[in-house]
Amino acid sequence: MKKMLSLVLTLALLLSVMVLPASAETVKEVNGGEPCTIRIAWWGNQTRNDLTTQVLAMYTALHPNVTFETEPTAWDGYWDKLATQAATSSMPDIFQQDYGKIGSFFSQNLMMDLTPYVENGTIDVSRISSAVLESGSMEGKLYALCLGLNSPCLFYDKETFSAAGIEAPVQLTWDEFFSLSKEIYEKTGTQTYIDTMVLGMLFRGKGTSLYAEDGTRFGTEDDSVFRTYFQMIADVSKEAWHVSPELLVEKNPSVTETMPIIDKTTWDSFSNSNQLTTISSTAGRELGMMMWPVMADDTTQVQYLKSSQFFCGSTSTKYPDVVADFINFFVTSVDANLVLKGERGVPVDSNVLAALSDGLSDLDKVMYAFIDEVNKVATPMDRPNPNGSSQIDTLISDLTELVRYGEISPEEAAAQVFAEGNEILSANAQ
Amino acid sequence: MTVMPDTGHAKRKKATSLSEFLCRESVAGYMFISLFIIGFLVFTIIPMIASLYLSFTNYNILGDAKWIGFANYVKMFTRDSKYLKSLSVTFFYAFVSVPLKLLMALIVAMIMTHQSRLTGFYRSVYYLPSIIGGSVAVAVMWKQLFSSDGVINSVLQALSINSTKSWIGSRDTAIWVLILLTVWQFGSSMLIFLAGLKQIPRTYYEAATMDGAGKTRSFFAITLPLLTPTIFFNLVMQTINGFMVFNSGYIITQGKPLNSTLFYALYLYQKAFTDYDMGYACAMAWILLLIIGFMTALIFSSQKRWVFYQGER
Repeated sequence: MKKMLSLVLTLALLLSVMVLPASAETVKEVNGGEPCTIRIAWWGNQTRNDLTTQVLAMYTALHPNVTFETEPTAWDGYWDKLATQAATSSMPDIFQQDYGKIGSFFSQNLMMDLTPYVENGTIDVSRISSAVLESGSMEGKLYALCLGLNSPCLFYDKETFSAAGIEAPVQLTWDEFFSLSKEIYEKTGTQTYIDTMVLGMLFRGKGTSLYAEDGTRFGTEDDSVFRTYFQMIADVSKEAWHVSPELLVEKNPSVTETMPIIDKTTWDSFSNSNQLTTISSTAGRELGMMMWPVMADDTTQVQYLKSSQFFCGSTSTKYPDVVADFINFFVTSVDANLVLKGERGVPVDSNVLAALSDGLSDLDKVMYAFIDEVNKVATPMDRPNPNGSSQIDTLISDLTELVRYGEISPEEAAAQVFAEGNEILSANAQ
Repeated sequence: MTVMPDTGHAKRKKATSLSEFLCRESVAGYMFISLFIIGFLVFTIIPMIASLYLSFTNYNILGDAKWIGFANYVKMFTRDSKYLKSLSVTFFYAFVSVPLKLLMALIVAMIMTHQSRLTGFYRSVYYLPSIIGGSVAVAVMWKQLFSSDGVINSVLQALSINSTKSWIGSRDTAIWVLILLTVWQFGSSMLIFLAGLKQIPRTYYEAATMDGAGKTRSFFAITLPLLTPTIFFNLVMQTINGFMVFNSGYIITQGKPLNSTLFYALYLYQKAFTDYDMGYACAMAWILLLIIGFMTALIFSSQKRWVFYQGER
């Protein structure tokens, strides 16, 4: 029955794809009508690959002289591949970009400057907020156009909450989070998991960020925030309601399929809002969303809107005008986004958003409502991660594991990450 | 080439000498292996030279390589405790798993030499783990077996031993789970042992029995000495493989818990593709080459002491 339904839906979708372009916007010729092949790369999952391929077909229907070569990859392999392609000057014409990586791609001059195409009207940004444009800009020039908005969120298991008879609040303080975790464990036996991602949020709560503005050191003068973080990890690791480090080796939280929330080992998962559909469908049940917990003495709201994914043109492309035209189509065309359905996050073009709001699935409605809530309180997003941040991530997760096993004290871990991290950052800045 | 003073016939002569040149046996030989040589140069030698150069640089793939001399090598042995940990893990793994695997292979091969109708079947069955052994699927299965709610614990509980231990999550047992996986994949060594055992003439055993030697005595006096070339070969191959182990650590534990299964090749991979520290990873690769080369040389130089070749003496 389910298969039948999805078949019908797919057919309906295909039909609408075939019919819609006729009614759509006026079509300008690209590349002077000469045939060209555009290579395009993105990371994602099967759903995203299917939807994106459909939109590429729509674009080819509008511009028969443009054909696409697609290079979809999973997140893990994507950056290895892109970096290798960059090293061998064989980058795809268009590639999906992550906010954290814009800085390093910019410093290597790998992204095409989109500003001239905004000025000549190829890319229409009139209905996109300046904050969103800013997130894809470096030194006042637009290099990457955002494909969707996201926000960090805390997923919780609705079934566990109703079994424990607890109403989920919008945002907890950390003390409330701990007592809630304890209560849930006592009533249902379901445990809690606290992620390394929390560290960045603790920094935000103090009104600063993990990395200093120039990216050559951490965003604080001392290791106090690190100490708070590692102390929290040490404290919860002693509690029966927190998942044991042994179990985390088995149920790797960084792979969707093995996340401890999937089989209800834990009730929570620190993640991003656009993961709702993926995690819910993997778990086979609907999850709820909360904002990330805050410290009682926090000065700043931790929650922010995040431009989750971008499209960039590569500097080596032979068809910059086609690249610009396609990116504009992908982001601002209502027809294209009716197919994409905000799978990459909530659309940034206000026209598109309005057109999409009808006909959302229940799960999508939850996500859109959450983004709406966040929008009311959100503070600006952190700057893109500096060079060397991936080494810092490794350092932090290594030390977190040591603290979880009780191998070193929180103070030692904090001192070590502060000293070694600053060293890595300054070495990479040179 | 000879000097050709007669310029008038030069063109004709040149053509003849070219066909002569091509017809020479050595040239034909080189032509035949040229495909391999080109492949070897392009895919092995040139990348190796490149990686040797990169090992002296700070290179993050995206940017240009910056020459930093021996800094990567110095850092490895002076300031990178994780590197030293990965070294000790790999040495421990190789020194424990290789002898165990060979012992296992030898025992099973000895049993297999007894003829019965099912021998062929058993041989295939015992070789099976080696065929599928390196695969991702087996590693995933192994992870299922040894997880806290896995098959091993269920069996233990059925035997009324109350075990909820996470074998792969506990730092004392994780490495042993991986060693066990390696030992279980003894099939290819076993086949080589089988071939070696069959080479030993039956007459030796008959003569020994006549002289009143028991089974144990024949094993130590005949089987083992005559099998030493085979053991030697297996030891070299398995030691090399042992130092290059990657799959099981990557899939089952990802080097965790507490880096207790952080194999050398796994750490190298993480440095290269997680941290983008490509220069450092290249330096690590060269040290690994030296280590494997040294270990192999060590085994080779020891062979005079214990390997017995029948043809010699």
